This record gives sequence, structure tokens and C-alpha cells, in this order.
Amino acid sequence: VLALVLAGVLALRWGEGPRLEDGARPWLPAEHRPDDRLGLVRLEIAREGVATTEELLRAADHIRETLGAKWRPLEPPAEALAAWTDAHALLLMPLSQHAALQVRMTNTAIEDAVRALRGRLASPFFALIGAEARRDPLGLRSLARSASEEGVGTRGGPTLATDRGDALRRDGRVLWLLHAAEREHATWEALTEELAGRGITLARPQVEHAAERVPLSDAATRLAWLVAGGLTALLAAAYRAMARPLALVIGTGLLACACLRFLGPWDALALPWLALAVVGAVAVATIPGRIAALGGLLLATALVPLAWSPIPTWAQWGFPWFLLGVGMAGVAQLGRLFAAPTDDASPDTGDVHWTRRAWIALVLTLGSGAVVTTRLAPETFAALTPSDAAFSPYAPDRIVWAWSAPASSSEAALDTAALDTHGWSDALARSDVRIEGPGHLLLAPDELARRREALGALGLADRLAQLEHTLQAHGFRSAAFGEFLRGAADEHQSPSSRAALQTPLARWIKRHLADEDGQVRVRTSFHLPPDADALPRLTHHDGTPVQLFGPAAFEATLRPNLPSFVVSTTLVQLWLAMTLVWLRHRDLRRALFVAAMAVATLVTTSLLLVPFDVPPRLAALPAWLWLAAYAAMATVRGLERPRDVRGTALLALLPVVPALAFAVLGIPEWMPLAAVLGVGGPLAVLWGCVVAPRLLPAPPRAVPPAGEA
Amino acid sequence: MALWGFSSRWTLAHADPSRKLQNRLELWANFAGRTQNLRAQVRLRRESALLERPLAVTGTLFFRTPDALLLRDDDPAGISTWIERGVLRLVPHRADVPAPELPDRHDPASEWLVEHLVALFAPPPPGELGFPRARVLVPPGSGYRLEFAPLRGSLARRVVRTMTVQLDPVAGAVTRIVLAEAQGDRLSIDLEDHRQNLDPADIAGPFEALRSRVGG
Repeated sequence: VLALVLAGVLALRWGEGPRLEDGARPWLPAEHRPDDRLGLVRLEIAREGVATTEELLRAADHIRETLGAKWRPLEPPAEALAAWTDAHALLLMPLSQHAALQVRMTNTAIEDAVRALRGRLASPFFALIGAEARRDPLGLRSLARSASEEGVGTRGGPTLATDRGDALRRDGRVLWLLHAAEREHATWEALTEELAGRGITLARPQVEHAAERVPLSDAATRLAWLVAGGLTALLAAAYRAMARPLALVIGTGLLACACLRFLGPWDALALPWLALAVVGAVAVATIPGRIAALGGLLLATALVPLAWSPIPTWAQWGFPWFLLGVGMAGVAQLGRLFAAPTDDASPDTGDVHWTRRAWIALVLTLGSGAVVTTRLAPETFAALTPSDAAFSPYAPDRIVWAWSAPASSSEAALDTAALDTHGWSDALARSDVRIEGPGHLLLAPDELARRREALGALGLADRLAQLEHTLQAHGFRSAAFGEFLRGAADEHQSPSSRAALQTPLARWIKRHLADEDGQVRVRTSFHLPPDADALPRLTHHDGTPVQLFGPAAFEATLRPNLPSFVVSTTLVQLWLAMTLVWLRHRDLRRALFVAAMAVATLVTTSLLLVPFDVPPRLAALPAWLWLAAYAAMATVRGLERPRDVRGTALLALLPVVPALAFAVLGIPEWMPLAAVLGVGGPLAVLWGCVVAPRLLPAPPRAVPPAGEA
Repeated sequence: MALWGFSSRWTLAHADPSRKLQNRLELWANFAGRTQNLRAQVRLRRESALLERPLAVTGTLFFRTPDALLLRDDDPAGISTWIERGVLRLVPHRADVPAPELPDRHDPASEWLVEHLVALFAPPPPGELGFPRARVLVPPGSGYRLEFAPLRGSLARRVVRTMTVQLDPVAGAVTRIVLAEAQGDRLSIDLEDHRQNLDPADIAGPFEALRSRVGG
């Protein structure tokens, strides 16, 4: 023991400590994770405060100055966007609208539009609608919805873009800013304090959500101590000794520490696997030596089916965990040194006598398992994410994004994005999905040429002269509409990517570009409405389907296949257990019976969790698989040694140790595991070590003849 | 069309405490406090950078308690401004002309204008006199006038600079409203021939006609 402790201390002191990867949503593949290099800042007029919207805007100016180059435009700057769309309104109008455009530019339509405009002047509310009339007297913007502000979602959405490019909620009480990376904590504290004095609260939702999470390093340390302490206490109480339990726990613990240090990185999904490997190894060390290898393999293969999982962490650890389980079980055999001397000298042979009730139980359990699988509706990981109210309307769970095809330059990439986005805009015109990206504002060269030609065929110059004439005839100053008329008539103005990158919109546009090894791609985001139950189905301009990324996109790919994935993974796990039992005993009925006891454990555990309002969750799948393997191991042990009360009690309580640890440590991903292990662990042993030997008793022993006695 | 509600709470928090202001507010409340319904002839005049010459049209204003206001001009190609229960609608007289798109229901300027235009004609709650979301003062010059402006820092100031109201020196009725818009336009609404508390059926007609046309 002393040697092991010394080795442990040396191992812990050697190197930089465990390789842990903390972060929200560890189940997401990297490409679906929100960009954590950008942070949101939320300014809100305190309810009890007296600050005004103007002060909110001034506070945003102050933060922008403090952030300097780290500030990023969250929305396209309003004035720059208006100038751009005014200058290019007609060109940005889709070709499909040109027939309607022609109708609106007839003499009669122009006359009607100008009369209506004059009629509106008599309303006290003209100031609210007049700006639009001044910019677009013929109401042509409604024809070009996909190309104007609607396209980038600044109109009709929950926010207004400010002239600098921040986002202001329409009631003027909340403002969002975007910034890159993190400033030092002290700067934000000082800003928060300063603004609080002016009646404005400053919040950084990502930072606050991260602060709410228990740091993984703290949780890992506590998990190690709780599991080690719990196992030691349990073993010491069961065997009324300390040295050998300590040797067992320290041995497996050291191996776990070495894994933490040299393998990894370990995230919140992977760490529980390490704890389960330790507990499994300890459990294997308590069963008779002749079935220890089978028990160890049963537990080591428990999570192997997850190697084919869509969850990256599970897929990554599926096979290594098998090796880890085998290694742990090997190390744990050291603990066999403390086993009671009669343990392995048991006269039990493991032979069983097949009874009718065993067959009935087999059919009933497998049947109930089949019924349960038909009603399986597991929840995805979304239930584990915290409320996104503080992010609204920029909640990461409501934003998905698509990448345009890579190109060799920013301009070329933007041209490709323009081709894509105009199509997407048409496809989503009737939905509440907001598209956010620079593609709306641009036209690729070929498309630009097509639209110029089409506009030329409409006799635009003549129509604009007619509009000018009609405006004058109704008492309007045509010069007041000059921006529209000039923009519409100027053949040299074009909404090209090159031109856009030379306007004040450039910084916002560049936020959507990603340059990887000289290949530039454009990211276009889709803000889903809160009640969206499906993702938009879109195609690129060349007809290839669009792949969407983001938490909601990953959830959407998971959800339809979830029940079949859970069932197939469990079946593979049961098949592995059956195969191992068959290889050991060469008895298919026995293998089936072991699998049936595992199924009985899963079914009764799920039924027992119903009153506690614990829904089946994908996050708990490793615990379910491990539980099935544990039940299989318990059944193998129960059939070998039906009357070992102390060993049975110990086996039943071992899974409770990590369950309690998971429950108290406050990591959201660990809570579903705690419920399954805490309830299912003792049930597995009940089925395997108590019920199974009664259903499948040992064959009656031959009574020696009296004369021989 | 946009929908919105507005607060009907009245306080003196932002009113100029001077006696002159108090006198004018009391004069205004004297007339408004008795109003169950009202009809007045109006002359509208808009001065705008869009126009070569100011636009002048006539029309009629209808009000009925608690919060229904209708301003209908006589131009066949004109528009009716209808506010009821905090909901603003702009209804072109010609059925073939589409209604203009209004801003969001929470747009501060819309909300401010709706609230204050209705409040000019509605009886103030007993014992309370004031406009909580406006800076109210007596502008320099002659006549019984009150000037309302959105509070400092309000986004409504980006659209409305001031609303100046002239009162009848004897009865206290609103005889002129001048709206100075932030873009430089100026709308004057002269009210005359005030008919207060008519038979409700006479007032209901124009509202019902609009309701039957656009619903709501």
C-alpha cells in the first residue's frame, strides 16, 4: 500500500495535471459549436432606473471605445445599409419580380402611387411612414423584400440595427453589442460598476452561463475523492479490513489518474466513464476468480457500441474504454488478495437446472423489453442546456448557419454567397426565419449582368422620367426623391462584392468570412423563430443540399433517429454480453437468460424512474448500457454463487457510490447518470443475484449412498 | 397595421409647476373633462421638403370616450387616421390603394403620438392633470398654448420634435395642433366648429363605416 501511495503521489506531482476540456455543450461536434471567440454584451435600462435610450446608446459608445478593435458589428450599420439598398434597390430586386415592377411603372400606376403618397401627407403619422415614401415613392421595396433590409433581418425583427452596428430592442430598453475574445475581468467589472451608477445593467450572457457551471477541474477532483472514499468505506465495511481495500482503490485510482494525465482531453461526458471503469473494476474484484475474466469483459464491452455514436466524445472513447476497462480489471485483481479464503474454493460449479419458470421469465422479460422499446421517446441533450432568455434574440440554440462553397478570394466567396442567399431568401420568404448574412446585399457578376439587361428591357429611364414628371405635377419636389431616382438610373452603380467591401458595411461583412489556408467561405446564419419545430430545407445555387450547422441543426439530425439509435446500441451491447457468456459456457440458453436479466433490469429501472419524473435522456445512455452489462455480470455471478449475502450486498451498493457522487457535484450532464445508476445498480443485483438463481437453480446434487457414508 | 396599447396613468411628475402652465392645463381640462364625444371641422396644412408648396386639405375630426379618435380628410385620394383602444390604423379612402405599412406596435414615436393625440381630447382622470411621457411647457408668445415634447432620451424624439396645442381662451377647446417633425416637416391642424357631446349615434357612424371596411 505504501508503495502504491508513493507511486500515486509521484504521479500526481509529475506533469501539468489532468487534461480536462471544460465548456458548455460537450456533446456537440466542433463544427456545430457556436463561435466562442465572440461574446455578446447586453445592456439594459434597469427597471428601477431612470436611464433613457439615448443614455443606453451613449453607454454603447463608451463600451465600443473601451473595446477598441475588439468590438464587432453585430448587425449591419443602419445608415450604411440604407444607403446601400437605396442605391441598388432596383438591381437587388429579383428577376421574378420584374413583371410586377413593370406593372408598377405604368403611367396609371405611377399616377396612383403619387396620389396615394400625397394623400398620406395629411396624416399626423406621415413622419412614421414618410421616410419610406421618400426613399421609395413607388413602393418598389415591397417587390424587393429579399434584397432590402428584410433580407438581413433588420426590419420586422425584434431589434433595430443602430447606426454603428449594434442591436437595439424595439422598445429601446435593451442593447446588444458583440466583441471578440475576452477583455480582462477587471475592465468588465469597472464598466459594469460605472454603468450601474447610470441606471444601466451590463451583462455578458456567455460569461455568466459559464460562471454558473461548476468548473470541471473542481468537479473532477471531488469526483475522484468521493468515488475513492465511497468505495474504500464500502469495501472496508464489507470485509472489515482496510489495507486491501485501500490497495484496490489506490491501484485503480492511480491508473485512472494516469489516464487523466496522459490520455484525453476529458470533457464532462468522458469523465463519468473513468469513474465507471474504476467502479466496474472493483466490482469484478469481488466476484469469484473463475468468472472474473468474464465479468471484466462484460463491463469492458459495455460502452463499446457507443464507438459508432454521433456524439464525438462517446465515439472517441468507445474502443479506448474497452482497453481501459480490461486494464482496470487487471489492476483490480490485485485486490483479490483480500478476498475471503473460501471464496474461490466454493464447491459451486455454475451448472444450472432449466425450469419452466425460467422459460416463462425469459419470454416475459424479453417481451416487456420489446414493448418498452416501442414506447421509447428519449430526450436529446437540449434539455440540459440552460435557459437562453438572456441571449434572446441571439440565443445560440435558435441560430443555425450554412457555409458557402470555398473560394480563393473574399470577393469570389461573397459572389457565391450572393447566389446562394438570394435563393434562400425566396425559399424562406413566407417563413419567420430571419436570414443574416451579406449575400442579400450583393449580386454575382453574371447575375448582375442579367438584371441590368432585364431592367434595360423595361425602359427604365423613360419610366423614371415619367415618375419625375408626375411627382412635379402633384406638387412634389422631384429633387427630394433624388436619391431613389439617381440610384435607380445610375448604370455605374452595382451591388458587387468589391464595391460592398469599400463601404462602411465592410467590417460587418468581414465578420461573416472565414479564411482557412487561403480558402474563403461565407457564413450565413438563420435565426429560427421560438416555435420552430423543423429546420429550413435549402439548396445551394448549384442544387446541392445545404448542410446546416449549430446546436439546433445537430439536435435536428439526432432527433429522428434517436429511438432507433438507443435501441440498436442497447441491442448491440446485449448481443456482446450474450456472446461473451456463450463463449464462456457454450450454452445459448444461459446466454439468453443473462441477457433477459439485463433487459429486466433496464425495464424495471425505467419504470421505477417514472414516479420520480426522470424522463429517458440520451445523456444517460452510457449509464443504461453499463447497467445492462452490470446486470449481466451480476447474473453470471448469481448463477455461480447464489448464497453469498455479503458479496451480493456489496455488489448492489457499488454503483450507488458513483451515482451519489454524480448527483452532488452539480454537473448537468452527470445528473441523468446518477438517477439511472442509483436506482438501477441495486436492481441489477436483485435480478442477477437474487431472482436469477431462483429461476435457474443449481441441479440437485446426487445423494451419496448410505453405505458409503 | 400596428397594434399597441398605452398607459393611461396621469401624473404631474413632468409638468412645469408654474402657475401659467397650471392655468392652461386647467383650462384644457375644463373642456376635455366634459367631453363624451366631439366633432370638429379641421383644416390641415403640411409644410414639407417633399413639396413645392404646402399641402392644404380640409377634413373632420371625431372623438368619443374613452379613446377613439378619427381624423378624416376630404381629399378623395386621402387617408383616414383612426385610433381606437390604442390601435392605430391608416385607411386610404380609395379601396384600391393599399394601406401604408406602419411601424412595430412598440415603436416609441408611434406610441407617443397615439397616446398624446388621444389624450388631447379625452377627459383626464379626476384629480390628476399631466402627461407622464412628455415634457410640457408654455411656449413663448401670445395665446393659450401648451407645448409637448417627448422626454429627453426618448427615441420618439427621432421622429417628433414637439406638438404645440392652442386652446380656446374661453372654453378651453383645442383649436390648433402643430406637429413639428424631426425631419423638418410641420403639420398644422386647425380645429373649428366644435360640437361636443352629440348624439352618440351621430359620432358612431364614421367609426362603424371604417370598421365594416377594414374589420377590427
